[in-house]
Amino acid sequence: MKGETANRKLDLPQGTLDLLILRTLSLGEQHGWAISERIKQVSRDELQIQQGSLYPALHRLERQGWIAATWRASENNRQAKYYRLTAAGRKQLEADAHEWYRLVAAVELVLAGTKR
Amino acid sequence: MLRDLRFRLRALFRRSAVERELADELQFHLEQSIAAHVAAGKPRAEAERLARVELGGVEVVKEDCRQARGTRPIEDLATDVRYGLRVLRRAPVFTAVAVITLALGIGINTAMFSLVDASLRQPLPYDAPDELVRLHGHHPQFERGSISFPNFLDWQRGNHTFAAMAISRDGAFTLTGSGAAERVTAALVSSDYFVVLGTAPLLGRAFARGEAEPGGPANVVVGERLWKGKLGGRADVVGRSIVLDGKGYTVIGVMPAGPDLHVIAGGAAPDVYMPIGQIDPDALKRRGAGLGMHGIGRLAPGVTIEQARADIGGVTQRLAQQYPETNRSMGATIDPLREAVFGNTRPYVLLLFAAVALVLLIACVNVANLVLARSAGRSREIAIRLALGASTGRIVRQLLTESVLLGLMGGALGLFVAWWCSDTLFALLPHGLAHVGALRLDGGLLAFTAAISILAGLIAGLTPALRSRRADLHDTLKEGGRGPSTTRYRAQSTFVVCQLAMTFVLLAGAAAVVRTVVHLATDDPGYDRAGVITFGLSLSPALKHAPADRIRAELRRIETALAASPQTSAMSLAGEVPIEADDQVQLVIDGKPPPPNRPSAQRFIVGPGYAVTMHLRLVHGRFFSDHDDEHAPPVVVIDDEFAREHFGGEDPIGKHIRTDDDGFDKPVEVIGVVAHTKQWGLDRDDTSPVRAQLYQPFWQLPDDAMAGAPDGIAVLVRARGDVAAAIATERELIPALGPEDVMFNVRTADEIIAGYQGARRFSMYVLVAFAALALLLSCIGVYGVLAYIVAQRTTEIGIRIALGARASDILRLVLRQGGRLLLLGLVLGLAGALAAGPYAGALVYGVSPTDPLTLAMVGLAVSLLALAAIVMPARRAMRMDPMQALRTD
Repeated sequence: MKGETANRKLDLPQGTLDLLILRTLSLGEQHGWAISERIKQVSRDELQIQQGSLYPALHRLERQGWIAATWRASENNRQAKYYRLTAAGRKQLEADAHEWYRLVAAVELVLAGTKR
Repeated sequence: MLRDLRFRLRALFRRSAVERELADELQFHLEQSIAAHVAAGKPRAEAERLARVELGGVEVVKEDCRQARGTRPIEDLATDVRYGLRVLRRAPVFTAVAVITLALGIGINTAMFSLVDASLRQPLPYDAPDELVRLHGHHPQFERGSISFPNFLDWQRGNHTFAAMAISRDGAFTLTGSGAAERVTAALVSSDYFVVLGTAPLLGRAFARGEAEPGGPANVVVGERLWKGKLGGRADVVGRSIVLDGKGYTVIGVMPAGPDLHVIAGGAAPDVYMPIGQIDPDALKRRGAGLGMHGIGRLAPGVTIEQARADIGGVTQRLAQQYPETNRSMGATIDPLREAVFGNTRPYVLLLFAAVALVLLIACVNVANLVLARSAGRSREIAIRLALGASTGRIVRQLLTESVLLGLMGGALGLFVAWWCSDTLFALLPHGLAHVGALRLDGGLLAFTAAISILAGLIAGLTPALRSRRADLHDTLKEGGRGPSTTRYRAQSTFVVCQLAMTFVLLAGAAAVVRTVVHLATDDPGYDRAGVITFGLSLSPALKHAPADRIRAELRRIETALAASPQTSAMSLAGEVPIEADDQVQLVIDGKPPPPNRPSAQRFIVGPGYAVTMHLRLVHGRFFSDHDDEHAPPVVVIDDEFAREHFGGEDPIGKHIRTDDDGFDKPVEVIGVVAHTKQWGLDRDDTSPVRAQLYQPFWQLPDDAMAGAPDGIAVLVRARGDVAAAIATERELIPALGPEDVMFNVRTADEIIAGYQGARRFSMYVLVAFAALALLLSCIGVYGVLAYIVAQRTTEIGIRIALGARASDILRLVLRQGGRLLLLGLVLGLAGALAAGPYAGALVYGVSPTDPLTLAMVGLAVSLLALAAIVMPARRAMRMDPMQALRTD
């Protein structure tokens, strides 16, 4: 793949894609393409999302009721599927984010401890 | 959760819409991605390529999305079903043969299930039928004997476990004053009879409490049949008076026939329900009387049958102390009503059910063989699918789906088969084999059919499906789609051998039952029943209390008229129809020391014409003549069994015996010896404890016995020529002789004997039909496998012929292959038949179920048909054109 040789991007740890999608959608309604672009942008191109894994994740989150979808015209007047966060999804985002910070903090503690 | 379900359901049922949306969504993504790359300065073609690469394969993403929607297993099933249906549609002949084969097997199982269901599961048509029980007196000799009326009243009063209890007895009356005189059947019942059953009358009312006791009013309830027939079916029948045996009774109600106990037990509902108190009060009052009365009871709610048995047991013990003379050894037998009704039927039905299950198994094996033969042709398709990445589990599931589809289609068609053959099955059901209604298409039946359909499909598909896992990709593709065959032959050969073995067992069973029936039909009973008509005769109620001589005169008038009819070859009056009579008498032989146990004999009271009518063989002396009448010295005729038992080598003629009829008072002279006749439906004669037979002249009946004759005697007529025509003549003759003389219960002697054989005959028809079906299916199986093998070996056979093999060599090749299967099948079948023989039990009499000759004949039958099935493909192989054969690849 193009970006891989020039500038190796970070692989997404297991299970974090859902968190990223929920976080992105918490800023407002988006379609799939915009979600992937947005994640790339916000992470300053550090995170490489497998576009192929984005859509199954969206469908799974929709099934779980954390996000909901509607079809409407996009900015260039083309019908697109827009996802938005549901109330349940917002709660899930909070819980997942909290988990994430705990995980990061714990890993950091361990890493800092072994350095000394 | 609900949302999840809605999402999945939408994914499932709005499948095409969901798929379209998915495609649109990804298309939109690609467009955006391409636009972004173009904006970054890439040429259009390169931008399109990059967009696709980044997404990573549209179809893979779609598949992942479908997976994420969580409908995968169901969608797979739907795909498998759709694919399976397409495959089956593409092979219509295979599908039709498989479906029809399964439909036959499933259909007869469903039909048989409806019988088993009736006897095991379906509720009897009463409120809370599980509370109903049958009550009998437990006598030293009979477990289910009569209950005397005084005892019944004490049981009714003394128990604490019954909600209600009633007693009944069967009888018959002559109905006069409503058109031609007619004999009607009756149930004499106590007051609570209908309360126990909970049956409501169609019209009017049932008996009130105490109404049917002795001294009660002369009221009757009539049955539906009599009401609709003779009484005109009018509503104003209630309150009308009818005359029974010369006495007027008021009709108080009409009872429906359906829920009547007689109907439930496979008989006909009585025409009249008469209060039991109308029986001669002297007989009713006797505590030791055996009047053929049996009880029915409804347990109080929550009472178990054991509690009821203990309770009534206590009552009978108290009665035994109170009335030692009559009740010393008298107990009670209590059976659940269901047991009482279906107890006799069940073994037959279950045995037949085992037989149909075997037929279905054979059908399944046939279909398995078909599927296996086809899967050989499909091995290429399967190999390609495996090569394209389908998992073997997925392939197995696909193949099983196909065969389960076959099973379900067979089941659907099988319901029609069941419908059709249950009519025949129920029509064949003999009188007295209880059954409830016709085939009922209820949930239980459908569930059973669906279950065996799926099971049949799985059985038929399992081996072929599992075999597909072993398919060697490389070899299969290389071999050009013909498939590696030797192992397939082995599976199919095993199937055919099993089929032949099961068929052998079924045929052997059917043969044993057929031989039993034939044996019983041809076994010499000591008389010739062909052309003999029997009927009951009752005289005008006016003669009821007439002097014996007047009754004799009337009977003589009828006898003379009947004997003079051109359609009568010989005739005799009798006390009862001898071939079904159950009258025993105790004996004393003059000049012999009395043995410790007083000997008994079966006793028949017959006229002088009896020996000629029944073609009895006279061994010695003479039979009765017209002179052996009430004025002549009393005489008897004995059978050779009697002579052997009591006189040994001595000549019995001129010897004297005494009977307990007159307290062993008067000696009676023996004037003749006839050959023994087999009594009671033949198969029971050998085991009867009393075998000696004694004939007494009808005209020498004492006056008090003759006084009972107007109530009903038996008449036997040997017809000259057509039996039906003779019966028609008699039906005209009797009313002409006396308008209130009634002829009833007209049957040929053949019908009486056939009635005893009913259950066995029924089993015979059904077993023979099933065995024939099994044989047919097996032969189709043998044919199918050998035809398949020949087809598979076309090239080889072509080469052999091209190399100079003669037709006979080719024939021998195929015959050897088929013959080996046949031989193995026969050996296994023989083993099976020998093992199953002891279970034939009640169905077989007088023949051995494992008789070598029968088994040999069965083997021969199976061999002949199987050989025919082998020869057909063999002939095709023989006639093969080698050029044609070698070109098939």
